Amino acid sequence: MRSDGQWGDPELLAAVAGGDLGALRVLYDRNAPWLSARLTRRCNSPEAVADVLQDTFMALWKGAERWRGDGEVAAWLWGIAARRLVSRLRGHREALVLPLEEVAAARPAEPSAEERVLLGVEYGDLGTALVRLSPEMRAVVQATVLDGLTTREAARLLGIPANTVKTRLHRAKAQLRRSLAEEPA
Amino acid sequence: MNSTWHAGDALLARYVRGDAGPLYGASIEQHLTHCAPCRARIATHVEAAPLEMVWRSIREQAQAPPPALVERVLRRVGVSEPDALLVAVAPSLRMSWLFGLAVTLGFVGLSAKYGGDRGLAFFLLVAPLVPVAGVAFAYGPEVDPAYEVGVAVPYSASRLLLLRVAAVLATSLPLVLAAASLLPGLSWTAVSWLLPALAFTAVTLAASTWIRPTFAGAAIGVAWICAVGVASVGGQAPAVLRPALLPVYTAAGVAAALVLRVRIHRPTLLGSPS
Amino acid sequence: MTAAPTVELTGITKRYRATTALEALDLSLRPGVTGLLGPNGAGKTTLLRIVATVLAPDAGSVRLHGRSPAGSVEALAETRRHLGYLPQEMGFPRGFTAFGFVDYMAVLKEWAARASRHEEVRRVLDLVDLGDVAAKRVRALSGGQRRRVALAQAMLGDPDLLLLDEPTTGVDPEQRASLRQVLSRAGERSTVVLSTHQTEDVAALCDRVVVLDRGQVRYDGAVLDLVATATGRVWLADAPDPAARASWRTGTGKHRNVGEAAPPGAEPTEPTLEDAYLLLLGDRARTTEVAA
Repeated sequence: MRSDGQWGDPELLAAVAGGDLGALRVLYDRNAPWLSARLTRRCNSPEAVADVLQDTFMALWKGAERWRGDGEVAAWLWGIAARRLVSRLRGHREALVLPLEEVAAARPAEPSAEERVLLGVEYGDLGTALVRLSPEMRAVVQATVLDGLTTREAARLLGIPANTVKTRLHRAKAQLRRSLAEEPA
Repeated sequence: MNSTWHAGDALLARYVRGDAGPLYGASIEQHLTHCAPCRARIATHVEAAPLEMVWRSIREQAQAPPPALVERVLRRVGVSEPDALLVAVAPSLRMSWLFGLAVTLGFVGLSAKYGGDRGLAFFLLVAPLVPVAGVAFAYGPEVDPAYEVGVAVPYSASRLLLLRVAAVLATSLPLVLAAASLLPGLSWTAVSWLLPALAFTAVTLAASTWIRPTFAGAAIGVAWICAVGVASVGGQAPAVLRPALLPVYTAAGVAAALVLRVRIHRPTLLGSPS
Repeated sequence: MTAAPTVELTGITKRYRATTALEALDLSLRPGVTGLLGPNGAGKTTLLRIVATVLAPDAGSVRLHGRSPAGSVEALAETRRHLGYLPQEMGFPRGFTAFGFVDYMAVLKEWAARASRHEEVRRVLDLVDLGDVAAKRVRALSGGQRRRVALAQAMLGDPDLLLLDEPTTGVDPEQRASLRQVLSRAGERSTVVLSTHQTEDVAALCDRVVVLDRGQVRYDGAVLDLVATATGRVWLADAPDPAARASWRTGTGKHRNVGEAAPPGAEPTEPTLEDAYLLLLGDRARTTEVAA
């Protein structure tokens, strides 16, 4: 078996497109841990996460040749996983979505300096403005802008009506625009 | 904005546990999207056993080929999974064959409906030979590249053969009957072709204990073509199915079946070239 | 090595129209790895097919583990449960993946339960190092990989008797080394019969060797004993020796001569199995591919 370190993601994807199960295994070992952690933060049913993980890598197995080499493989994988999660939630209402708001409520309202700095590092100006949002609006922004879901998909993920998503998103964007205008760059 | 920040182990552990908070969480998630070393490090905080179980399911799903349509249908009617798999492998039970057969029979049916005497002769020519062709291409060294290694196995060859023949008949006969239903008028011809069809099938099988199935099928095909040809010269193609001949077909079929029953248990190759 | 023979052939004769492939052949095969050498047309493939119950002899008897497969259909099936066969030429039906084909063969070998069958298919594919490409279509694999798929199906169920006709044809050198390891391990538990043109495979792997020529056994014994028959009959010289039966220039510039006896004063050298084989068969061996 080839050693893990030699192969970059593009070569692995090419091998998977050619039917190489060993390459799929390497991609799995590299990506399944963080994907499962990220999925668990949105849905705390282990069976659902396992199913979505399996679906994601099967989609990768069957569709590896469709990746056009633009951007990170990791981001592409998350896109697939997020959509699979949403469509799975459609059928299984019992899969609880981890309430991001609950966790936020348990913490002190004021974000620490470090949290601000990191958000700024990862998201730039948007990050620091995110701090000002209420947990509900943040959840909506995370689902649509950061996870890349549509309004309807975000609605399913968060367990709220689509109109609520639209309203909150609209308000969040307005607030973000105001914050970004206020803070000098 | 390039980040030289990397998530510390303690923070990653909290994130995996679920209590890093939404802000740290959002930063970590965005960071992981573009940082391979941190993705590797988070693996040490995630339980390996459930991931291994998911991998096993993935591997099984990727390796085990999805069952063909014929196989699924057979399972539906109660055939066991191994038997269904073996039957569905036969070349004359693949979708490409069945599709081609349906198209051919559509053509034959239309010519029977609109082609008058010639069309009828065409139908009579083709109909009994359809199961013969199906059987000739269901097994044997010429249609199965792995035939030799398939002989040295404990699975009963006669059982395999009969299963495949049953499946061939079950798929091809209804198609021919559908074409027959296009024949003008309500005539006995629409079903009496079944008798030579079954008789010829039995003869092909019996003959293939001596010679290759494709030879046997071809020989019968040529003989039948001649018979229909001779009959239709006089404009009387249905003469091949006249009542006087029906017992002849029956006798031939029964005799062939008896021969087959005796010879099928001989422990040698069926239709072996040497 | 007083193990009871796994295979006993007595008076085996097989004729094809004008030619006689095997003539009143007697042979016993025991656990361990036995090589089957011989020129083209020697009857090796015919012999293997008869032992594999794929071909019926015209005369003579075959006993596998003391049983005769010719007795009844059940005896035949029982015999086949304990053997694995790799033919010299094997095709694959269209559309099969490596996994799918070995799975199909496993069904034919009476593995009915899907889960354990798939485990076994994975096991044999891993044995021949095809685990990664198991999901690829066989037609998309290289010649050497296809040969390994064929070998994998022969090893399903770890049979007592493994009959392999040219198992390493087309397999590249690194893979050949790993296959030798697999076969050698199999030889610890089972009876492995390896028909091949490659004398180095026999030399590296086999305890015993049977040399066939024109349907008859010319040698049947330990590999080392056969090699010993060439002692003193292989020598190096600066030029080809006209008295030698065969002579060729080696990489060192000297000529390697193989003949009846080394001339006095000549520089003798270690004989190989290939030398002994050449001496045994005389001119017949020259027409064979004696692979490098």
